[in-house]
Amino acid sequence: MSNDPAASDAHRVRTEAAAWLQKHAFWDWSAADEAEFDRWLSASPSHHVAYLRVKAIWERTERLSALRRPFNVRVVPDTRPRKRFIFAGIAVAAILFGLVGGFAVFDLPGFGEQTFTTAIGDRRIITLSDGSRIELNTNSVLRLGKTHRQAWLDQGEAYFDIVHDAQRPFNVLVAGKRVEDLGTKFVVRTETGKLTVGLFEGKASLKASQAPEAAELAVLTPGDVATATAHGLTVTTKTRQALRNALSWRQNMLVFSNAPLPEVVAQLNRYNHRKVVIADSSLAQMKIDASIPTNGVDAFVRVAKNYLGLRVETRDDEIIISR
Amino acid sequence: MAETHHSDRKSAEEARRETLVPASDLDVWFIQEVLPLEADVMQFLRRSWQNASDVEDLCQEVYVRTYEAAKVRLPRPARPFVFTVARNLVIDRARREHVVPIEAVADLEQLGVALDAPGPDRVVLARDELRLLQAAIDRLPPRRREVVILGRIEGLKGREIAARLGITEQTVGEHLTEGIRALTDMLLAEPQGAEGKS
Repeated sequence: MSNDPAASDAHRVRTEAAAWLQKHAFWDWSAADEAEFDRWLSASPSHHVAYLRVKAIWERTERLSALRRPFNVRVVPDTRPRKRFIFAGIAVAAILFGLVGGFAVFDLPGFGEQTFTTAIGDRRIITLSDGSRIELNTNSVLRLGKTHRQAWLDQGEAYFDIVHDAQRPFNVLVAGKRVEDLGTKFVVRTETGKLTVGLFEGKASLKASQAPEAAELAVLTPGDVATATAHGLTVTTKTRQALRNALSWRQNMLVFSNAPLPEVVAQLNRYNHRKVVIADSSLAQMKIDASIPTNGVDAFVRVAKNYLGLRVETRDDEIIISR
Repeated sequence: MAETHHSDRKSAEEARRETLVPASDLDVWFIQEVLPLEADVMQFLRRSWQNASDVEDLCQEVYVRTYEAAKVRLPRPARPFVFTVARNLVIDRARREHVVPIEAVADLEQLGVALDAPGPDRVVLARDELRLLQAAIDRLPPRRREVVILGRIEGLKGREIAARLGITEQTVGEHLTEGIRALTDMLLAEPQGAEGKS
């Protein structure tokens, strides 16, 4: 029985599936590879299910990036991020001040526009007609134009994985500005008075306003995170790891490295109805490394109590922590 | 209870999977509802089939039959359906190969019914999931573990891994292939929790 050809067949097919997966994930991938892979995949349902199987598990291991120091809480010295360039000019600040938080005149509702919303703690994946994907994070509102090449992020955060089309660039209109993709994966978050754009792959252009002829504020390359506030625009270059942490919500995780406690709490609160409140200003100095499920308020509170030695008090929908 | 839980999950899933062009519901169903049963399916097959070296093949065949049948209509809940497929497969094979006495097949049919019930305490917290992933990585042979860690945790490309470790790109490819294979087997061998559905 052990030399039953069928028995070795499953092993062979599953190994082939793993080989395709690693080729796609780690090496150059040409159109010819894609065609050959498609042929292999459609050759047999056994190939198809074997590939689904390795792919599903491989995607699960994405959160291994959180494994470096899960719940390893430590207090670390303050370090400033490396700033690549800063727009400190009064003109730029004035432009941003006028635009952050408001919506420009170009933000007119179009025909055939669709609105997608998520409740607190929810996520939603939107697949566009050209295969582009948008993942809408917690408590967000996104409107999609009829052509599928323009979106308005009215609230919250979204991850964009856009199929590039030089003739029809994809535009995200957000907080009075425009992000124009030049073939790319990026994340956009809008909060009161603050806009963040992080670029993972490709290239994107950040424009001063939503007008088509708007001035270019910055061209983002992989690793860049642009933060616009009333005080100006900062572009910092982050490590791949830091970027990956910033996207861990796509796996329902929040991963922090050297993050101030109030930042951790603010992030966790975005995903939960029960809010954590820091009632002790001295805690603002505390920095921690942590990985927490997005719905892990209880886990976080346990850590605060047991590892950080903080006092925890529960009041209605609030959890108050102090020294 | 089971009814409510099921319909909740379905509607949440539908809401999340809003698509403008229909995504492959079948693939999603297979990943979210069939794959998590692998630990139990494998246990069932090991108990039902004498020759351990056939079990991987049987499992793969259960998946193929399940997937093909689900093309017509998604069986929900998946669990009883998958176990029926597994049981029928074992009976077919036993009859065809004349290896299992009929008594054993009869036992098997009872066993199959018993296994349709969900096992106890299937909730795995995300923290436990991380621990599980860590443990699986730790079980890889040292060199393979190193390659997988550089690729998955450090985010290096194949070429960079080869340069870092001073090994050929072909060797890196083989380690990644076998690493992915082994991690898949190990992680699916664990009873699955609510994790994949959240």
